[in-house]
Order: sequence, then structure tokens, then C-alpha cells
Amino acid sequence: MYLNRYEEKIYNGEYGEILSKAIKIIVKIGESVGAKRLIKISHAHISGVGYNNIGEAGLSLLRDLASSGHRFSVFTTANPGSVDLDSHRYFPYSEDFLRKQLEILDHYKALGVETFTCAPYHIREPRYREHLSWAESNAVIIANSVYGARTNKESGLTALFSALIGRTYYGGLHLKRERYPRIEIFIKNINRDYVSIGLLGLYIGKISEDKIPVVKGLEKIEREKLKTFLAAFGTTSSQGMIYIPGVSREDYKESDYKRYIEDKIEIDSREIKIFYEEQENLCEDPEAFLIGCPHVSPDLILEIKSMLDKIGGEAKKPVWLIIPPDYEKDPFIKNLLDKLREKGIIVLKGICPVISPLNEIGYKCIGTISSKAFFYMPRLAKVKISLMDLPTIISKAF
Amino acid sequence: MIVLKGRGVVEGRAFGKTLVVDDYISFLGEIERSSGVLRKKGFPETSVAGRILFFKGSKGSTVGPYVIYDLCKRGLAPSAMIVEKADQLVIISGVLCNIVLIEVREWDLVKKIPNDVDAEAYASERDAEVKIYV
Repeated sequence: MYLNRYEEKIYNGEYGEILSKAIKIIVKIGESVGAKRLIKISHAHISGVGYNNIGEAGLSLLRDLASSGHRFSVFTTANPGSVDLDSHRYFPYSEDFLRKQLEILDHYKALGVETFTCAPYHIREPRYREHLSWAESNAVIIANSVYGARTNKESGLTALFSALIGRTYYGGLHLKRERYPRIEIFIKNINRDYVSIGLLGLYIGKISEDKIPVVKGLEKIEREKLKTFLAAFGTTSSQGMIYIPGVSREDYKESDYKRYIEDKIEIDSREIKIFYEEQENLCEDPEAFLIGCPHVSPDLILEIKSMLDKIGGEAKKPVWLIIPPDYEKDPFIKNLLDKLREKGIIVLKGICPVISPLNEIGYKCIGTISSKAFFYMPRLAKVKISLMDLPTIISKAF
Repeated sequence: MIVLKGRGVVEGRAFGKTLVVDDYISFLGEIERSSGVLRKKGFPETSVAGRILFFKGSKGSTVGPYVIYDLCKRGLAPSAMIVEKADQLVIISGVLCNIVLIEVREWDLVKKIPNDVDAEAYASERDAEVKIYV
């Protein structure tokens, strides 16, 4: 791989062993996919923050990195942890768990993480054709498929080492020729509620395997539903993007990619119904409700607020609304959230119950609008799931 | 003696006894972090420490490299990893811990290698080979 003089110096250890290892990792991963050089990135996003997820092994590496004195050289965000000091009263995991989770967050902050959210695009919108090194599947899919930015679906550590050197390998989805769809999917008669659209995302992720799909029939989808759809796709697909004509920003047309299409598939509501019925870990009577996987957008907060305006009373069961940490700096959003708090909604900032041991604090069944949470919570939080639309959640919780 | 040619991903020279896993390994879950013991159905329950470890590649959680990092801090890492395809997680693990890492071309030959025999792995920028003393 070609390296410029500065990169060569890093490689040869002139800036220390850690940066030398960081660039070697990126170079060798790049070489394995045929990349010829490195490219500067403007934003790195790291996954692997939950103590439940990275455990003692992760803590040990982060401790060593943070104490080395090295800092991230580009704007860097990271996924949320399981819990923080503010949310511990709602999620009373053991003191040991809390202490270790806080230590992980401290090490990331020391390294230069700006904020902890799984929706970094709500904090800093990616620009068209800019290069990123992002982990966290939903963020990757949205950056590529909505904004037309360029990132591979990286592992958390690859993004971390890219953050240290401010570069990634120029290969995979960074290259235009790798971004053409290979499978064409037509959507027929699918309801546009959160549940159906999320299940559709899971299903398309599953059937398109490692190919980029072009999805037709979703042209006029609302932004928030699009996010649900893409996040769901990211949980079941190994790919980092979908091409949606009329939505995605790509500088190619159908005539450019037509010859690469290997397969054409039509999907209607019957397939989605069968797919849902095959799922395990379903439950009927949730003890709590989760909205915010991925962390909610200001639009969704507004949508919930206008629904709640029409009903009286307070929530009778916990409704967790999970937002990125910095939303309340905006007085308009703060006002909305305060109104929701008056209705008994629990607003949680920059954490993630989905990756947390909810079973250990007594939860068994959680209701959610998120197909991403639907997929992960039985595996990670060890609870069963009831997938339901927003009006259903509100009618059951209030 | 069996000699395998390949591509060096992490350079160096390493010696050790062979441990052959003709499958993908999930570092998280299939290798015990505290002891380095491989716990994978159908394969010997033995430590990977100091081994010339043959496996097809990694699978599963992206937390995997943290486990290998932890092993090398305790002196329990394999001395070389010989794989069919070096994926991201294997590359990170190899570079982080300076474990010789080689991609071999003819994986079918690996299937003939017995466990617990002496082997030597050598990788440079130009070439890489693994010698198995059988």
C-alpha cells in the first residue's frame, strides 16, 4: 500500500508504538480488501462501550490506551453504555457493574469521545461523499444510504484505531464501484407503520445476504420510518448500505447499475407476516416500553408529544424514551421533553437498555416500536419482546 | 515435513506445537479469557498459549480482539495464527499482540496436520511459510 511520508513515519514508530500499531491495523485490513492507499476521515464512530459487551478484556485495553496519553485526532463519537449515574436509579444494576461501566465511559472521554449515542447523524450530519470510519450498523447504513457519505461497516476497534490516526483504508464502500446494488427488491402493499416497516427491514437484510439491495416502492417514505427501516436492515445484513431511488444520494442512475443486478425479488405483506410468525421470544404483556433504539430524533419526540396532547393522565408503566445526550441544549427540544416528563415518560440520555442485563433487575417482557431492539433484546438484555406501533404503546402505557 | 506457503500479514518467526481447528473461531465465547483454553465442540479442550494455531478465520462478536489482547497480556496468546482468510478481527488481534499471522493458500493441506507436533511459522513482507515437522 502507498503511504505518504507522514504516514510512513507513523508506521515506522516515530510517533510511538500505539500509533504505529493503529496504522498497521488499518493498512493490513486495507490490503486484505485490495486498498491501494489510506484516506483522511472527518468523523469516527466507535462501538463497544457497554460493559456487558466488552467486559474485562475491553476494559483492560481501554485502560492501556487512555493512560498512554494518545488522543483521537478527528471528531469522534461512540455508542452509549448500559447505564450512567443519572439513569442508575431506573436501572439498579450492581455497584460493580455501574463502576466498571463508568470507568469505560471515562476512558473513552479521556481519549476524546465527544458524545455517546448510537445516532451520531443526529449530532453531526454526514456530508455528501465525505469519508467516515463508523462502526454501529444503523449509523453506517444511514450515513451511506441517506446522506451519501462513505464508510464501511467497521468493527468498533477498527473505528477506534482510525480515530487515533485520522485515516481509514481507501477501499470497500469508499469507492464508487463498490456501491452499486446487486439485488433488486420491489415492495408491494406493505403498511407504513413502524412495526411493518421495521420487519420489512429485518426481512430484506436477511434475504439480500451480503449484497447491496436497491429497494423500489419506498420512494415517499417518511424520514423517521426510513430510519426504522434502515436500522432494522443493519441488524440482519452484513452490508453497509441500501440504495433507495429518490432517497439515497448517489451519482449513478439505473442504467449504470442495471448490469450488476443478479437477482430480482418482490415482497408483499404476506412474506412479512410469515417472517414475523417465525420469530421466537415474543411476549404479550410488557412491564415497560422502550422508544429510542436507535436514539430518537427530534421529529419523533414531536410526534409523541402531539399524540400525548390528545390524552389525559400519566403513564402507568415505565415508558423509556432514549435520546442523545446533548438534545436539551436546544430550548425547543428541552421544552418538548419537559412536557413528556410531565406525562410520566422517563427520558434517558445517552444510554442503552438494549445491551444491558435487564433480566438481572427483574424485567421479562418489554414493548417496543423498534425492530432493531426486537432483534437484539432477547439476545443481549435476555428479555422477551412485544413489537408494537406507537399508538398501541401509548394506549397500553397510559 | 509438511510445508505450507502463504501470505504474511503480521511478520515474524514463531515456534510451537500445532493446534488445528478446521473451522471458524469466535474468540469471545470459544476461548477462555483467563486461561486461554479452547472450548469448542469437536476440538480438544486445550490451551492456545504458545501454539501455532490453525483456524479458518474468526466469527461472531467484534469484541473478539479484546480477548486476544487480554491473553497476550497474560502471556497466554498463541505464538502464530495460520488462517484461510485474515478478516478484520484476526488482523487486529495479530497486530495488537505481535502474533505472527499468515494466510495459507491450500487449506486442504491443513486438514492433514496432526495436533501437538512441532511447527515453525515465518512471515516477511515478501513471503511466508509454515513448516510442520511430521
